[in-house]
Amino acid sequence: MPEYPATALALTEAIRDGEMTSEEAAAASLAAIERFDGRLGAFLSVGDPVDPPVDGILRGLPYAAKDNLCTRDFPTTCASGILADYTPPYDATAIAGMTRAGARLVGKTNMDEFAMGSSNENSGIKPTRNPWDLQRVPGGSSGGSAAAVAAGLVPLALGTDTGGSIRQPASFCGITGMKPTYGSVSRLGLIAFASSLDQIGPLGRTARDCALAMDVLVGRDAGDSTSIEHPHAGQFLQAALEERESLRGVRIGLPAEYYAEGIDPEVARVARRAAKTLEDLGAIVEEISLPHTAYALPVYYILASAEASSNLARFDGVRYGLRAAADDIDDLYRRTRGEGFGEEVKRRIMLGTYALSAGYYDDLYVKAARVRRVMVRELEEAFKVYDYLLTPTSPTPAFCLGERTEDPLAMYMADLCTIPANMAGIPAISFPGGFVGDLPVGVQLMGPRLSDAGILATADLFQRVTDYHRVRPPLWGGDTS
Amino acid sequence: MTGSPEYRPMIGLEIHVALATRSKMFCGCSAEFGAPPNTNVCPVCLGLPGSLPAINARALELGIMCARAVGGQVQARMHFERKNYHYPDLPKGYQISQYAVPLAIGGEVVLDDVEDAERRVRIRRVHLEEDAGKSTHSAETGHTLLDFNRCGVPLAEIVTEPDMRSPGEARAFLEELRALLRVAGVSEVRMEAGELRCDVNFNLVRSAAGDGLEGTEISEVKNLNSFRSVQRALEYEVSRHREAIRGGEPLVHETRHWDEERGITYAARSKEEAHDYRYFPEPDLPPISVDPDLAQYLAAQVPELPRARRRRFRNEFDLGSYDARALVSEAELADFFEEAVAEGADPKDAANWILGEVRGHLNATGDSLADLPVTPRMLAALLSLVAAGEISGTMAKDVWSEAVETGRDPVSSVEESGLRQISDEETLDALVEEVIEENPDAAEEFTAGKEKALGFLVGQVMKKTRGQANPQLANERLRKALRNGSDHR
Repeated sequence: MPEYPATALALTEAIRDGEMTSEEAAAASLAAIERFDGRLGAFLSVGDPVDPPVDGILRGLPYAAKDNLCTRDFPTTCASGILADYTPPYDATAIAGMTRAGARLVGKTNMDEFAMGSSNENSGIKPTRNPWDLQRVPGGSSGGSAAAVAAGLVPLALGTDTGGSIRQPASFCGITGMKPTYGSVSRLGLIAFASSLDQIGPLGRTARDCALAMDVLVGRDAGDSTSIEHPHAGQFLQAALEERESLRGVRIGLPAEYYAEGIDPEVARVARRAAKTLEDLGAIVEEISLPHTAYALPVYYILASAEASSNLARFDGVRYGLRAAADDIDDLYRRTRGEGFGEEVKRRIMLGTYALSAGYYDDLYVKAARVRRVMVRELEEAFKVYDYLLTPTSPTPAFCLGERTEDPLAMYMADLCTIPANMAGIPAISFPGGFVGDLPVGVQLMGPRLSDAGILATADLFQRVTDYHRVRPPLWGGDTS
Repeated sequence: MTGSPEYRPMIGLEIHVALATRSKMFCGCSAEFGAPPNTNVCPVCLGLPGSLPAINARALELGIMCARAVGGQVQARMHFERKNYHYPDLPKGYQISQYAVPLAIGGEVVLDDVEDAERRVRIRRVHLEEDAGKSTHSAETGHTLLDFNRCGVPLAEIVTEPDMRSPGEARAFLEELRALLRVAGVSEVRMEAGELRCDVNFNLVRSAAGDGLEGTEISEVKNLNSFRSVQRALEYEVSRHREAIRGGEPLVHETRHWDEERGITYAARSKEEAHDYRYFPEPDLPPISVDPDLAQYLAAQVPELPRARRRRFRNEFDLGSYDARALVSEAELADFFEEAVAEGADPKDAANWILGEVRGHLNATGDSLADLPVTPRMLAALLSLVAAGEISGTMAKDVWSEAVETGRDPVSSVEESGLRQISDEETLDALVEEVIEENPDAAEEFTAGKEKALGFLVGQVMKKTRGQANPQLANERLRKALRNGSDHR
């Protein structure tokens, strides 16, 4: 088995320089999946890339994509019984973009069903395990993508982030994950959870790898009316690689609410230490307060669930996916949806339906939408003073399988720090900031809308002076690097 | 005041009109009617997972023109909402529609010539939405077949205030609306293609204490697809509500369906009514700001509307109100008329010809005027030959029929076939002399007072000219010659 370079950037360079062929790269990835994924559960489907790679900046790069991104060549199930065996007739814009850049899809990754969850335990197929400790969850909902990258099964993976679903598993698995500015990456072909919050993004070992992927993913798509022209499209890697020794003049805020009650003090300490590192690089670091952060969770669960209740209405057994045996149309709906959806999905459909119902709409949906705007304004005000905000990514390190499955609210807490970026549509990245015990812990950097290049460059600078992102899960270290 | 005032019908309509776009509202599929089932479909209109809507700008433009045609105020900023309900022919489980902020608010349609009084029907709002697919239930197999071709076809929904006071007035409103929409180029309004569907709200009301109204509970009759059905369903409801009042039976606010064959309405299952559509802003489509310049430009694209045109036809061309209405109700007839007049035709002659010959042909054949090879200029030339007495009306009809069939210029037909009437007095006088000389008995009889003999002599002139003599002129010249002759004797 050929040696497998640690980063996507190194791998694409090796292929370009003729040190490795695309076939060898794909074979290495597939062999690693074959060897380890039985224990990890990161993949839902795996296959040899069919077509030779296109000549582009990712030529020959094997990658994985979360199973809520539509692919012609692989089933796309959202890890749900209701879409078991469903293969879409088209590729998501993000997938097509990766193909055009020369990347090759080797498999689809496990996730919480319909991206609803923070541990991958809501997968309707199987749980995914954390490569750092198989008793622990990898986070979610892009847990399969994060675990696959952390374990070295693929150098890069795509995930989606509605309330932290890229960043929180990146934190749990000790890798780097980026949620771009809302609208930067086309959502066409992303099976929607909450349309106004969903965003596709990369998970990789480093900020540079994320920047490399962003160069491919970001671009206006007429097929997604919410997509935008990003001023830095195609320039993210360049920005990350730029020679820059210091963060002199950069102002970074530490919002007190993200370091307060509910946050594991050890995790908060990791984030403060990361802040100190940035300060040592010349940044001005100050404590600030964002009092409306307290409302993030309830507002998110109302708005995201409301949109989900509508987005998931199409899974009715009439045209595709699971169709339960039934007596009449109402029976068909009841049985198909009753059998096809898991508990958490049903819970959120119920919650969202309730929030939109006559008599509750004003008190729940309308009020939540208003609070969302207040939160967004609060963040915009903060960004008038600060270039970035630095916070823990998730309140705790990876928890154990089964630890929170009985308590949805405890599970929801895992997204406490990541939700505000989705509410405001701003970019945010999670990168390894240290360890708590033997477990990796990520820190999150948020910036104003369209500051994606800046946060990638800042995370890259952090990674130039730290080694946390180089530490491999001990279980796999000997085998994968 | 003594006694209770009379109950009268109060009628409001909700009309869905298919906009005349080539492609659907949120995808590139053809919006054409009548294609084989499920051939004009794609991931977007089938609601496949991961698909997203992208608005067809033409649908928005036609919507704006539609709103202007009924006098609505186009909103500067609007957004779409999702109307959530489950139905097999609604593939996303929601319909993209508008709710809180529609395309346009307000407006009115004026019905003149209805019971000789001007009636105004106020428009409450106009909004855009996508159509659903079509379900066909087979009683034989118990299956439901689904055709998604119609799914995503753009519709404008026009909601009126309850301003109509009789079933006939509701129908007159719909006819006027259809004319408006056709003229504005917003929709072809082909009824057979389901391009106009109507829900009616109906109750009987009378004045009550103060300035208020009291009345029966409202009936909503859904999904009527012909004007006749609207009128009949309303007539049925009028008598149903009147009987309920007479019998003292309470009515309930309910949704009803129309049974065309039995000519009755019947209550929908109560479950069909219990909808809570859970509207909320469509997150896949950003709010739309209508550029005022664009709105103005589009408003300018709306041609002269039927009412104004009828008025102008009456004033400018001195047409009667029947002719004006008949011409304007079919924009292509009205256009042909105006062009013919511009080419020099007498307006009244042109109107008669178009409403007689032209419309008769179109009705008989189902052709559209654009399919025929005749032009307004041909008609103008032909009519001036008739007016100048150069050919008879019958001849004109013959050459016109030929023109309609073959595209041959009727004036050249006249020239070449020598059909042109002999209206030249000198030529005729010579013939008259010959006829008198050849038929002295008849000439005698006429001068002796036998009027009938003149007919015979005119016939002889016609015979000599193989029918080309202008009969009226021949008549005149004969009279003159015979009168002169008698003076001589």
